[in-house]
Amino acid sequence: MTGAWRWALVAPAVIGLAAALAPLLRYWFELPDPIAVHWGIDFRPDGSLPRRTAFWPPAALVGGILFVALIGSARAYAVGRAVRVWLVTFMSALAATVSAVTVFRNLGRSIWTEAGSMTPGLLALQVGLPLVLATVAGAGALLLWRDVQPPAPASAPPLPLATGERAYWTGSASNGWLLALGGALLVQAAVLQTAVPQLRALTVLLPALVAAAIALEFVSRIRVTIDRRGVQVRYGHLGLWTKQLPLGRIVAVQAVDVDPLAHSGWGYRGSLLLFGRASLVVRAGPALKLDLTRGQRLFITVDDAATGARLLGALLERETAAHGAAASTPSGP
Amino acid sequence: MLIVIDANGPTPLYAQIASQLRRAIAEGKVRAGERLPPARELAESLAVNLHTVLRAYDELRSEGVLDVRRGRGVVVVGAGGDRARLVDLARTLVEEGTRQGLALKDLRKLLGEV
Repeated sequence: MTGAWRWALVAPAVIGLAAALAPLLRYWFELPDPIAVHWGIDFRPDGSLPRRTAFWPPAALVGGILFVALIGSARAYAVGRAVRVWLVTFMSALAATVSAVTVFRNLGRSIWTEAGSMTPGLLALQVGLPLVLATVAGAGALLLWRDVQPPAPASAPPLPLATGERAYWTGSASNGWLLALGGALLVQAAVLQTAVPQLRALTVLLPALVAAAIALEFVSRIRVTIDRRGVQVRYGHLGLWTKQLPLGRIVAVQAVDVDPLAHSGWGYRGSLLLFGRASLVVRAGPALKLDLTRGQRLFITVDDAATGARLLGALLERETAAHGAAASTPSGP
Repeated sequence: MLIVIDANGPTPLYAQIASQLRRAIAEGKVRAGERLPPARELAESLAVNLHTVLRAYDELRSEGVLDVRRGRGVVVVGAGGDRARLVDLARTLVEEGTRQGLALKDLRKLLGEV
């Protein structure tokens, strides 16, 4: 897979930003300064920006989303590409429609507070059009750029494990960015608590920030161990919280490369219980792909997943052999 | 980090564990500054006595490969990799020599000739 598809990320961003800038420049002298850029819940204008800076927030948003979409895009595969194209197209088109609606409501007014009201129809158009465009572009990307071959490297042969041999494997995955983000949330919580007295009334804010910081710490580093009992995942630097997967729950194992954006982001994504699919994504790169009983599937990112997969494969083989022997014993004599 | 031991083998379990740890460190699977899993975890996983693992850790500590600190756990010491590989090679030499019936002084002579 070459990187040509990435033009499908850059092009919508450039077109969207050009389309956002065009009406602003075309009607520059017919717009108030500052210009109304935000409408309240009563559909009246309630926020403004100087005319010269009105373009920067959407530009920063589109630029930011393009940056995020380009992270790890080189190793993205089908779903990851479609999700990226969808995101960038949606944000770029949104920038364009928001700009068009903003210019339309400000046009010919002398002061921003007199800008026209927002209407449900305009709102629906403003969000609906980008949704449609993004979905078309995403579906197009899915159809146009198929995977030449499965991105998963072929499962390595199981580790040769003789009878009487006991084995243990441990590997970890960590992501300093997630930890830093958690720390930033704690700082934010502390600042809000001390520096903004009005916010103390929002009693839910502080616990929510702290809870988010703890959740981020839990997925900023995980350690996986594999032994005769199965797979164990320890969350966080202290490994206080663990998840057990007995050998009997696991049907097959493979080492694969994971792209966070194809797994809807970092952290614990999905739910085995609700969707039968879950991914524990700490960072991009090697991961264990576990097929579980009841048709469930779990991805766990971990360094040197190849070795772990080989050991787990051997343990599964041994388990199957033991069960086969146990099943045939009663019919023997 | 992979550790495989053979419960039926002639080599004592603690020596097998120590040897596997040395190899893992020498191969860079565990780098300097990283922590080894708690002895209790390793003992439970391998179904061996806790003291067997502790003895293996102690052996590597006396070789200067590991640093055992109360509260901080077992940490791999920097630059231990090369020495760990050398010790592992020497151990293999002694084991193979013993198997072929060579005494330690015969091996020393052999090393001198090399």
